[in-house]
Amino acid sequence: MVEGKNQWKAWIYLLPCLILLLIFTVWPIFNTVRVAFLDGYNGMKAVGGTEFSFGIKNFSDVVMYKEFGTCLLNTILLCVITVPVSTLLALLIAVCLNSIKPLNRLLQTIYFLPYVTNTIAIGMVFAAMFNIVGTMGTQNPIITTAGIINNIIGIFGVEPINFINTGSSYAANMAVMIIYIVWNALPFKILILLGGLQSVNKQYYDAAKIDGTSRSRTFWRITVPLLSPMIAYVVITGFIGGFKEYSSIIGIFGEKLGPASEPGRLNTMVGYIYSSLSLGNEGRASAAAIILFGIIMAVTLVQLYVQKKRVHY
Amino acid sequence: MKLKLEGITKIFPSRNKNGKEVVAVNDFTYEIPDGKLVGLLGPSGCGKSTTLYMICGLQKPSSGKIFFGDDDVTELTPENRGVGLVFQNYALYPHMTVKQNIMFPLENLKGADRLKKDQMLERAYEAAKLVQIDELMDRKPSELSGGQQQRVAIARALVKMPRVLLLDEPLSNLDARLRLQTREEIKRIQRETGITTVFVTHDQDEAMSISDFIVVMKLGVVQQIGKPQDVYDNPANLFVAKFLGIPPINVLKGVVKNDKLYIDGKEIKEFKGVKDSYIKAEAAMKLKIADFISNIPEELRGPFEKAVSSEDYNTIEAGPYPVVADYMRKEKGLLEQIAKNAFDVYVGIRPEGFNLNDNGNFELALDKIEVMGRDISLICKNEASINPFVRAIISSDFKISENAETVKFDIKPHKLFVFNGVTEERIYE
Ligand SMILES: Nc1ncnc2c1ncn2[C@@H]1O[C@H](COP(=O)(O)OP(=O)(O)OP(=O)(O)O)[C@@H](O)[C@H]1O
Ligand SMILES: [Mg+2]
Repeated sequence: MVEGKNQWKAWIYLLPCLILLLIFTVWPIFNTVRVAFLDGYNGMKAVGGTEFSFGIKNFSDVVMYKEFGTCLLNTILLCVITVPVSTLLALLIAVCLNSIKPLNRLLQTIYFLPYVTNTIAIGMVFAAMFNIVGTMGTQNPIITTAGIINNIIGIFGVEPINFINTGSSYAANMAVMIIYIVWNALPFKILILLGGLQSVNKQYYDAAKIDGTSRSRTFWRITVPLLSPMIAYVVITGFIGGFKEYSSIIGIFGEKLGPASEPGRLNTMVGYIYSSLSLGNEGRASAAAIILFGIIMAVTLVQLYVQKKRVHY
Repeated sequence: MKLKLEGITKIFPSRNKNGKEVVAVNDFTYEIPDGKLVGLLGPSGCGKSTTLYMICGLQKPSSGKIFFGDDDVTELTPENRGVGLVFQNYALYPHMTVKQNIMFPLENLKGADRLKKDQMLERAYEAAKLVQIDELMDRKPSELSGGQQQRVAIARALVKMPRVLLLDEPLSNLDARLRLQTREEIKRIQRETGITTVFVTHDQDEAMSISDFIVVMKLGVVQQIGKPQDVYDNPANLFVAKFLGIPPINVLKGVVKNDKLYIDGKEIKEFKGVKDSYIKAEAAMKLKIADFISNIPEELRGPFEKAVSSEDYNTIEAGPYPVVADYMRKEKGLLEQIAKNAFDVYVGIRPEGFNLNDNGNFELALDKIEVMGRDISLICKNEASINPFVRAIISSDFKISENAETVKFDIKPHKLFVFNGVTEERIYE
């Protein structure tokens, strides 16, 4: 602790940072809450020059709005599926990578690529891969080459699947989104888990061998519990990130947020907030943001509770 | 069940191209009788752990075979060997309770060996009782003291009734008092279970006190095997003599001329057979060099032989077999002494090997006296001593004046050993 008479010095050192935090973090959070409770707030004076009245109309608007259900469902579905899947995959890959000694450097670079590549760019590549015609957006019937995925499954004699183009099904759209999000989420998770694995004392594995433990039991009874702090971290941050999913949808479906025949079908909570903002309805956007915050908070609290029982530090 | 090691050797390849490979264990052959406790003893890095890891299967011998009873287990994985191993730092699973730790090996059993849940619990409690930790079953390893952790590790190793129990310096993390107590406990547990046990330590006191047999190793090579007392009373070479015994043995330079042993110019006693032993040692060394050369790959042999015959030590030492230069120097040294007919030797005298005698023929300059209750240590000086002091331990019944300049001793013949001054091997009379 700084001694009493010198405390003002400490505050002066902190001041630049505190001011920036106040302007760009604390005030916006406070303002979001305020705006959310101002009925119909749109950034301008209310009709007739009076102030906006306090109320919860913004919240009821959000919930009543028909797109809200779609957005919430999409967000939750994507989260609940992609987080466990990507965590498990990352765990398996990390364990494999950890046991491969040669080519370690090269592999590290390869699996880390998605992490440093732009989301939208990856999304466009994925869109091209899952496209039913050769190039996205070209609906010219003369072009018959399908995207690479359809080409591959074509080799096995499967009919081309309409993944993302006009007339595609919701399930197919979701499948593409899930594959894409999982793939995108892997590098960070692998990085964390691999770091954890490398810090696990090798003697536990020697001991397990002496104790006659099978490979799968070693994985579930030794590796997973010893990695549980890292797994918990990866799952919690995964859920937080998952609830904020938006740019990946744009990456694949563009601004329509769905196949051309069904615009908005894959919209998410953040997408909803964004569109409310762009329609000039700031009150509603703030209310939706607070609802999203509440959901993330609740899920995180549940996870922290589970973690107390299941995670071994 | 007896445990047989047949010429096991472990060579670790060098990390880089020009580095030397490490021979961690060299041609270890020994048959451990059923139900005995054997102490593997040696300084740090001499290959004790490596030997243990080869017995349990965590490391594969570069050559040689390992037998449990009559089964050749050399190719078996650790899972299939049925051994219990207590690691140097215990390696208890930190996320499991004591009970779960002990039961873990049982839960891994498959097929006909698999026990029912309550049988497992019973076995776990039996093992826990044996090491007196049945009160602590629901704690995590982090909530135990070092000694308790160590006992959990032993219980975990014992619970599946292993064919062989291996302990890798299990006491090194304990304080002195606990160490004494636990080593007695290990001995008791080993007796009660009758499991053939190998115990690794670099503490000679520990090894001597609980082992039925001890194996002394140095740089991967077994120096001597025998009952602790026999090895102490009859060390095979200077290394073993120096390694065993607290306080350590006194080593002095001596000369043997005309079958008489002199230390610092004074005749100590008659000692026969030194010349013969030097001649034998020289012949053996010659054979060793020839043997080495014949084992060298054809394409390297030519230049190597040439370097040997021209005594070009630098070339040999830079080559792949630097050890031959050492052999050659030794052989030369042996030859010189045989030619002189005067033999430089090392004389080892145990501290308890001195008898005070005013007419004794071994006189030492007294430096100081250490009183230790039951006996007293006379700290003396002598020109010929390798160590700064010569320590003589005598009963405190003898009274010695503080002002005495010198003391005279007789040396008990069975406490005096003579070693070849070149090879450091023991010379027997
Ligand atoms: N994996 C390895 N790779 C290369 N060299 C090794 C390896 N393991 C051990 N060695 C070497 O083998 C020799 C014997 O090692 P070992 O661990 O058996 O010694 P130790 O007798 O158990 O020593 P300590 O008392 O210090 O535990 C040492 O020189 C060591 O450097
Ligand atoms: Mg060791």
